[in-house]
Amino acid sequence: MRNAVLGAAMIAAAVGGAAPSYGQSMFTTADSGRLFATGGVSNVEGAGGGGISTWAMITGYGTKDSIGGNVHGTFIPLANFQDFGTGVAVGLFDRVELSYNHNVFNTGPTGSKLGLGSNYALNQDVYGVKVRLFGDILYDQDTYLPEVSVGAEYKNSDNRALLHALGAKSGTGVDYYVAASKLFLRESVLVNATLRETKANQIGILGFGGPKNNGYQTEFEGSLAYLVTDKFVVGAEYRTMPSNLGFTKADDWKSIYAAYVFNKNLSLTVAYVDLGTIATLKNQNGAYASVQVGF
Amino acid sequence: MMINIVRRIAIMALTAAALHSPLSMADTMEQSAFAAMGGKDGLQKIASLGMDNVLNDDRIKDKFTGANIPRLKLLLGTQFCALLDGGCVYGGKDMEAAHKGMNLNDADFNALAEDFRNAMIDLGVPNRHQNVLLAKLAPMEKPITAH
Ligand code: HEM
Repeated sequence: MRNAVLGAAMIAAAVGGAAPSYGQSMFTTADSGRLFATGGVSNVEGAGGGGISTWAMITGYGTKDSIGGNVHGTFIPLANFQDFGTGVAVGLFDRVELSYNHNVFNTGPTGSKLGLGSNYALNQDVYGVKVRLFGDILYDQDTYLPEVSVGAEYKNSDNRALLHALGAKSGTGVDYYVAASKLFLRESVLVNATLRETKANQIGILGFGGPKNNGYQTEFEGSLAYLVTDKFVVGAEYRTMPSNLGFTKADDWKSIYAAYVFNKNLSLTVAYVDLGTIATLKNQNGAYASVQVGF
Repeated sequence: MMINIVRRIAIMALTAAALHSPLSMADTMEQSAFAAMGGKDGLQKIASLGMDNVLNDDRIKDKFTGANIPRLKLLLGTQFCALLDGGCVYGGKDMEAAHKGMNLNDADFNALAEDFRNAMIDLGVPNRHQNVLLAKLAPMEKPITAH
């Protein structure tokens, strides 16, 4: 836990230190970039989106002539578990997003009850790539055409022996998704819909596939947000989950959230999440707090 | 069953049409924004203050060297009024012709839009009305950054 915090601080320092050199080169950093917080924040898998859903927008404040990026730290204390995520994401010329996220899913005192030992932690790495196919979230206000992107996420979870004992078929998996986002600026409303092909149990923290199903399934992520001001957004999200494992079911994820953009370098997202049943434990509700530092 | 669905869709379509029709009693979002911004005079103030912000904005102020600022302020005020259906006729050049050869990019465009938004914030225009005007300006990115 402490290591993860330290790690995030180091990444932040490293990225912050490197930023000025970008300014010297042929392309500019995103200091004069986008008008709204249109890159979204970093979601649970490290991609640009809401808290639990993925959006089409390329992360950061970069325009098509510049790069932008951010680091984030996310803390999700649930009823019986807690997740701590840290990651970094870069948006290149509003075309490509590269992201890395590390989740530490801690079982806390519940670990003993599950026979794993107190504070037993499951670790997961997610490497993501997203490519914007067409559409511009802000400028396309004279058409109904959304901004559309496709993406892939390579997910790698440790504790293979445990995951296999739980019935997961694999500790690694690749998700593929197509995301469509539309800003109705006249109405101050942002709508997102994503279709994801996945085998992941609880986004992969409990491995991939299982006795009930080991094939790809199509899952849905939707979100609706209202721009209260240019700095303050409130919204709700919904995300469906496959239920592959035999010993437990998985429920759809839900969230209501508020994101505040202090300036182009700092944003804070808080949410109430309802992740349903995780590893037989029902009602995994809780808070969600995420800090994002951009450059 | 089928008839019921058809009837429902018809009612929905008629309601939608009524909401969009100029004959309906409800103001359009443009009319509401126009009123909230103080009509033609209010928009002229926004144009004026926005332009002052631009001229103080280190990111883009150099682009306006030699420009006729009083004329530009007047044209912008009339243009905003026309965009919000306020009964004005914009008489200037079209956006592509007006910015030809300036080599403007998205960062320039966003900076200017931000300066005008800040003018609206400073003049106390509520966010939802700001966005109605910004939604009209946003599609101008293409012609303005074309050359
Ligand atoms: C939504 C964005 C914009 C709008 C609505 C807008 C509107 C206008 C209008 C109405 C004119 C006068 C056209 C005429 O002479 O008939 C104009 C001219 C001009 N615009 Fe823009 N413009 C925008 C963006 C920009 C940007 C981003 C820049 C530069 C950073 C810029 C720089 C200029 C300059 C230098 C002139 C010529 C002024 C003169 O020569 O007197 N504009 N613009």
